[in-house]
Amino acid sequence: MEKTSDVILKEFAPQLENPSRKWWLVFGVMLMLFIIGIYGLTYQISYGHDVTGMRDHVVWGVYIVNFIFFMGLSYAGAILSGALHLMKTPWRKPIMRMGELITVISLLIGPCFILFCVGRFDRLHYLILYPRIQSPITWDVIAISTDIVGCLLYLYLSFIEDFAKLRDFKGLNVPAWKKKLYKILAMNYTGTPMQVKLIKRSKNIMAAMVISIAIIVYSVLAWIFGVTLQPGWHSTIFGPYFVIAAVYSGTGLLIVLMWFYRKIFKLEEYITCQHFVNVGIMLLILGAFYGYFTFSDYLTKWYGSVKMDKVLIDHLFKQYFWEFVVANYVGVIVPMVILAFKKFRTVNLITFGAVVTLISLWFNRYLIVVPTLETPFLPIQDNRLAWIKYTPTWVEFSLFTAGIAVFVMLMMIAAKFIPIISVSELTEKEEETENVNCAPKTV
Amino acid sequence: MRPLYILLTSLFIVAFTFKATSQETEKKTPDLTFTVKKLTDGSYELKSRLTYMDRKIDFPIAGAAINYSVDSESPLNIEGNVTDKNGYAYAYIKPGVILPRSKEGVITINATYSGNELYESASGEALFNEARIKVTCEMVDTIQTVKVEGFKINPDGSESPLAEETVVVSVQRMFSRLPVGEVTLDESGTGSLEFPVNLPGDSIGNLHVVAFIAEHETYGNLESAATVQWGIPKQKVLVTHRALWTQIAPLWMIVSLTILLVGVWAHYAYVIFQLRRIKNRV
Repeated sequence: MEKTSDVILKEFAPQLENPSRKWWLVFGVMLMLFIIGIYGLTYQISYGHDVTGMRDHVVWGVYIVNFIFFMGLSYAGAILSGALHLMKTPWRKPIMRMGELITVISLLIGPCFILFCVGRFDRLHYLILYPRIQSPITWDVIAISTDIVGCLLYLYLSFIEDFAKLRDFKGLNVPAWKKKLYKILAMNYTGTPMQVKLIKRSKNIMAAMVISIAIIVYSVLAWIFGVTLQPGWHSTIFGPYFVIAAVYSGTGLLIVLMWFYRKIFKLEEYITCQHFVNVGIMLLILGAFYGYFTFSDYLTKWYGSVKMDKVLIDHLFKQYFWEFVVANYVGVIVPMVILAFKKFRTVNLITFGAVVTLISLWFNRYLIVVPTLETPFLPIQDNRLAWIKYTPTWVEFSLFTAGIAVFVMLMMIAAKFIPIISVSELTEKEEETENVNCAPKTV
Repeated sequence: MRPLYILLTSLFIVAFTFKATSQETEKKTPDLTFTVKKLTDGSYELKSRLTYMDRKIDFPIAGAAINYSVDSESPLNIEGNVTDKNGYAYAYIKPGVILPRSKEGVITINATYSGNELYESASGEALFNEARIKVTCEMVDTIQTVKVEGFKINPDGSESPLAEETVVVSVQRMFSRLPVGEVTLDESGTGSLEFPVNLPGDSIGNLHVVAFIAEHETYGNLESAATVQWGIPKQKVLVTHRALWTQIAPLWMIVSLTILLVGVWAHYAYVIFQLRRIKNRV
């Protein structure tokens, strides 16, 4: 027998009510990491970018790596949740919201890393005042801002029905302001047939929009590298490669979040091992694609034997050997082996594979950004090793951990504000009998 | 135990005090590179460079005053003798100034830096016999010919041919001189070479031809220049850049971006309108 929304809300109510001691403890640790990051940022602003590892050659370091990484997670969330929504996959319901939250939260954190990298804040507004349409940086600014609006709209659309349910549910012991907020955000939604129809139509439109925007925006980000005549970057495959790598890392994060929320909120009834296997199979396919794209990219560079590409590949295989192995071998093989054999497909092992994916994909971005900048085209007189070799400093790592801490804090706050599993999705009766979305037959 | 502790602490303090004191008083030893070059108009260019070596790298010393003298006794009052940010100091001796010379006709010019609290003093010396070269460009039977004449200046002021010397003929380009050929002066101190006809010049075809002898063991640096309209006038070349350095973006880009953005934002507007309908319960 299917549960009603009131029954489910009653089950989920403790998640939304007053935070426990453990919640505050974790939140406090994250807040501390965030404060350390703020201290690092203040230190950087006071003493300039000299306190980072970035120098004359390597002007993009961990900040840009993190920017690409978080943006990738965001787009993956958008593509996954949008695609699962449009395909009406039955098992999507308990995990959709996590995907949507990953989208918005990562999208809010990612661009902050660009700001940390900017040396002249006083000139930042020039990007808007004097934009050059032919510059990929301008495309990125336009694309990211469009994406933020779209993703927030999509997230809100998927929340409205739950806000209405929370507004109407009497058994919820939350402060009055929270109730009031649910009322405002529910926007008079009562579930009339017309409202249901409008919401569905809007969600379908926005699902399609977020998928296309995510692909375009992440391609634009890839083109910032691809259109630059630098060894290792000037590649036509970078657009699709970035998109695949993004979805791969985002799927990994989704599995990790599923594991955490399942454990913390005891959602074993809703997020089953089958969910892990289903998302894991997606991870397997994406991992295969990621491996194929990586191989294709490096093979053509290596076989082409262009002088600087050769120097770069030598650099990757010697100086960055272990990072290269983690990013391109471990990151592909470990998740694939776990998911390819049935006996390995346990919740914990799949999650372990997902963690490996996340780590390896961070290194993948590091290897895209840093070694290329350490391999300049032009020989420069009186060039010193300290100006070429990049080593991140504590300031950069403090902001990196602060970024992760903000992600965790926002996920925690979101889970206290709205059920981490969409109640409306769970209780929705699927209308997708066969051919319901096809054009009407003409005689 | 206590005496040992006091002894070690004292040694430690003494060692650091000594190190700090030695660091404070240690002066750097600069290197002064000095050359003299005779120019076309008969003036002398005195070029000095003051640097110091630190971990095998030459660092320039800026703002240092360089003094010049002849035979260490006759001071030359020359302006512009303070090193710039690259450590260079240029000074000029006007044409017509008679420089004292030895019986053998050798002129000696000394450059000295007196030092300060950071740097030791340094000096450089240039010895040379006075000579000059002259370059002229003329058409000989429709052939573009560069003629070079060389003269030795004797102690009594008279001139005699500068024979059996090699002069490099070059054309001044943006960053360096392009060698065109070498001329060996004959017994009468003259020589010539055929000048190429295909060199690009400035907008009206002017070329700056420079004949020079560099670091000659007797005559030092000699130079003579002439401007001649033998070059191919420079024309504006429309280069296809591998970058979009245009004032405005290409039309296809503007159109594509506009379609994309209008398409996306129109959908946003439509969804926001739907939200409004939901709020008003239609």
